[in-house]
Amino acid sequence: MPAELTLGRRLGLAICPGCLAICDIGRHSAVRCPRCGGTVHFRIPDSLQKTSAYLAAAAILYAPANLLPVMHTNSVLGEEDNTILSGVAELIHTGSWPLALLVFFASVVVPLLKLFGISVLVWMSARRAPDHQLARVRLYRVVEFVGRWSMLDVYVITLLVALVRMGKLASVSAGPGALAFAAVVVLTLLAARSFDPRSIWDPIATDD
Amino acid sequence: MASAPLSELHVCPQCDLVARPMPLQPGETSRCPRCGAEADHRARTSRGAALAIAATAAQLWILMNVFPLVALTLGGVKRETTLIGASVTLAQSGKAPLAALVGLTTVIAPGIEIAVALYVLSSLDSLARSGLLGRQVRWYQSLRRWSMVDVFMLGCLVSIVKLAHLADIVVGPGLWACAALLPVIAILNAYVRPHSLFGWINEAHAG
Repeated sequence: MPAELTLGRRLGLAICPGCLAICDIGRHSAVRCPRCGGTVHFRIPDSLQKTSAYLAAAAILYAPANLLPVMHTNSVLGEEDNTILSGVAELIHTGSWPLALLVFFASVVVPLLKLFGISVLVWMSARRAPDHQLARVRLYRVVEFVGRWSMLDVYVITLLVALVRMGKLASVSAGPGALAFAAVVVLTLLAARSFDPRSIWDPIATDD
Repeated sequence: MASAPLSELHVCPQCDLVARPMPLQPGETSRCPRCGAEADHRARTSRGAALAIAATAAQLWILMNVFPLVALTLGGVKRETTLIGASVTLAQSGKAPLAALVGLTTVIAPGIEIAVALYVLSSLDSLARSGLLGRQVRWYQSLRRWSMVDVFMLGCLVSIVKLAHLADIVVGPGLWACAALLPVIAILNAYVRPHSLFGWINEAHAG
């Protein structure tokens, strides 16, 4: 490994996650950033444990999020329960398949990508895998970038509940699946944020 | 405080590599040589332009909140909702946690994000002198992660398509404001970054 490949931890330096100041941690485990007052660590403390915990909770809630109805429609035409997937199917039937594809991506593909993607990242970091660093850091960035888009269905449900309230004529209410789905979204966001991408590179930092 | 040689070093937030970044021209971004994460960025724009963008965002945010987003007519009955109204209705139907999440990501986080940007950009020098700028930057950084106006806008479009074949839909001024806010918030986020804010301060000291 080339000599100029120096790591912040070796010099006692770390970047502040809040204001991006370079902080001198020295021999401490953490310091207060002199510029913004936030806490600066060499690595996010207990990153893999925290990430796994969020991930496990999200994985457990993933089943009710997809099996339970997220939306209940009550109208003169009868009652109807919709899950995430049946909502997508309904969009295909009404003829707007590009939108159906979009909702399918945001509500089905993105949560799965987050669950599997972060699992792979945690698993490889935990066994200190010395390979595929660039691919792994790219996966981390994709997961970080697309994560928020799975909030889409939460907003759709909110708007339908707020608009369709005509009593016996037609009314929409949020089902129990909606809460589970929102919890999956938030938990996977927190999982991505507690993962420390520096743990991808740590196994190859053995030049000393 | 950070000593002089320390300020010349950069430590990558994504792979911990120490690098000595080159001085940048306005509009340039330097990247970590190992993992490609952004290392440094120098703003192309002036503080004044960023402040104007923040003021625009604030006005659009107010319009988005005051006016109804969508109105729906079915069987002679008309229902319309504002952004806050949607969260409140959801809370009243017994889904308070869901309503809190929607309120946080569409009203509170974007609102505080824009307010902090306005405050920071309008009093950059006095904040830097009193040493309070760093804390504002940290708040801004953590808040904007929870601001999801763009996803919400898409949610509005999906809802309209879902309802369009059942009822008459009228798009309200709130939704137009939301649509206009999207690019403005994106530009604001590109301008108000730790590197550009502290860069403006350093330029003021140097010049």
